[in-house]
Amino acid sequence: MLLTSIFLLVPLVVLVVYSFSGSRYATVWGGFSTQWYVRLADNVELREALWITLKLGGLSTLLATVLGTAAALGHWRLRGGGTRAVPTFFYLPVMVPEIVLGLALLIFFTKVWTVERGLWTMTAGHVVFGVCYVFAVVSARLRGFDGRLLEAARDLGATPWQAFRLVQLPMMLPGIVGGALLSLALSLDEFVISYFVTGAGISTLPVKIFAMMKKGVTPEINALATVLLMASVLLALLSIMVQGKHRAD
Amino acid sequence: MMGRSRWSWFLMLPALLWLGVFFVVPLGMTALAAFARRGEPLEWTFSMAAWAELGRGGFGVVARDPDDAAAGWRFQNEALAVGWRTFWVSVATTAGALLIGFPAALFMVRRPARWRRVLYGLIMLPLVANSLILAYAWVTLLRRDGLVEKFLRTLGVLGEDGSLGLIYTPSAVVLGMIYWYLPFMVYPVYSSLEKFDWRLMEAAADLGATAWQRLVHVLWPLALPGIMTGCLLVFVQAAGTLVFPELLGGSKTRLLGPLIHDKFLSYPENYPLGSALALALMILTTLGVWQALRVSGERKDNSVS
Repeated sequence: MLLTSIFLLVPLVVLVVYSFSGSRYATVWGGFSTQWYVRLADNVELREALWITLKLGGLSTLLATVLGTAAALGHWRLRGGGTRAVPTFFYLPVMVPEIVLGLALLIFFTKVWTVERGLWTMTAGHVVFGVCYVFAVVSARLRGFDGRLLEAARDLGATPWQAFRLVQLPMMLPGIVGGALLSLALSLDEFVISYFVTGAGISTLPVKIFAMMKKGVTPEINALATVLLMASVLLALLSIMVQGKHRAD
Repeated sequence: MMGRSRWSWFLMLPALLWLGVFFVVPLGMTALAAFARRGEPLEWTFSMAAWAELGRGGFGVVARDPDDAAAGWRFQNEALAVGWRTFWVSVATTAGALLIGFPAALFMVRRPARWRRVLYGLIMLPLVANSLILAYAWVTLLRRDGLVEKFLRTLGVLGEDGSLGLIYTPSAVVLGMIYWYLPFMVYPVYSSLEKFDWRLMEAAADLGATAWQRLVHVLWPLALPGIMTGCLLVFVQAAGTLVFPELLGGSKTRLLGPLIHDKFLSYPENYPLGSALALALMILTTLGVWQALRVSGERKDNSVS
């Protein structure tokens, strides 16, 4: 277990340490320096890529959350009336290798529905996997929901809409938030699908990073990787704290 | 309750439509594209050219070196050689992840709850990062004059100009992928071990089973569903990976992912051939899924009887 821990930690530690190196070469230690972070902040292309990544993440998460939540609710309302096929169908996109999903969308957007590729084509792809995760998380949450609670609310004089909004929706909310966060995290990190269906001159951050890495190994990439790593760790901690708080309630 | 049912389907409709248009139709088109003619970049005319190209060279094997039998053999057919290499790299990655992940999960599940959470976080740590960044971390470690070689030189194990040639090999790709896919193995294995009733082990010990017998005949079979899920997740993803072979494999370690990528995104494009390769990849991963389901299905039958 100790060896496993070392195996897991060494690459990350090395990455972070060398981002503070003063040397131009990624594996030569040239004294402590923050120059690569300064360079990073001045990089206009990266800032643009970050903006596209955030737009893509927000847009696809919004769509995936609305569609996935509605589908999970619809599936729950059927209560297993010959609908075993529905969850299986929502499970399929996750089982297909990402690269196949990417190239299939590329063929679709060049030969079937010819559009200029860019933010919207990437959104289409990201919603495909996002909606599946939201469906899975919200469905899991709804599995424990007793439908008789809605009937009880109706008996007490609530309209169907009130019963849903005041009884069922609050109970679903942690699932919706969890699914949305998952979808957002996956979208921000997603590389292969974006790489296949993006248009000329439009790059998300992962696509941009990949291009930089193909060109060579520089401390600037280390600095960028460190920033992203810290952002991810913070997001993960945040979501753990939010969930922990819910459990405490 | 006709009304409720109609409403329910109406709620599901937008999501189903989205998946229909942007998932089912594109996949169908990919299957068709494999039988289409190569054009600019694709023409919807029936053609078997892609498959003829895939089959070029036949499916036989030839000796790697006619004068040296020990050098082994290789496939004459390029696609088959790449597919075979992809298969073995994926199997090695799955086996490696299991070899590290199973003991790790076993160790974790036996710790007190507080410890367990820390260890669990540690194992899941790579997941919060991006696979690109982790692959890159391995590049800085393994590359020529990279940190591993520098470290060994400082120790005097490696000569001043010596190089181990670590990067741009199948092993480098496997190492990077084991690192990235380890959480996908540990999570399901850990979940199945968590439900395990450890009194069974005591019972087996009381009946005279050795530690090894207990592991093989009691723990392993009951953990098998989790193990199978883990293997499945790792194998399917490893078979289709693009990032790791591109960054750690170099031009000598061609795998299916980068080969498919080139047919679509490098000049000259060949959509039909790329689609045919994608179908081959789907068949490879489906076989993996089917095999895993069969094994875990057999287990279920056994445990019932």
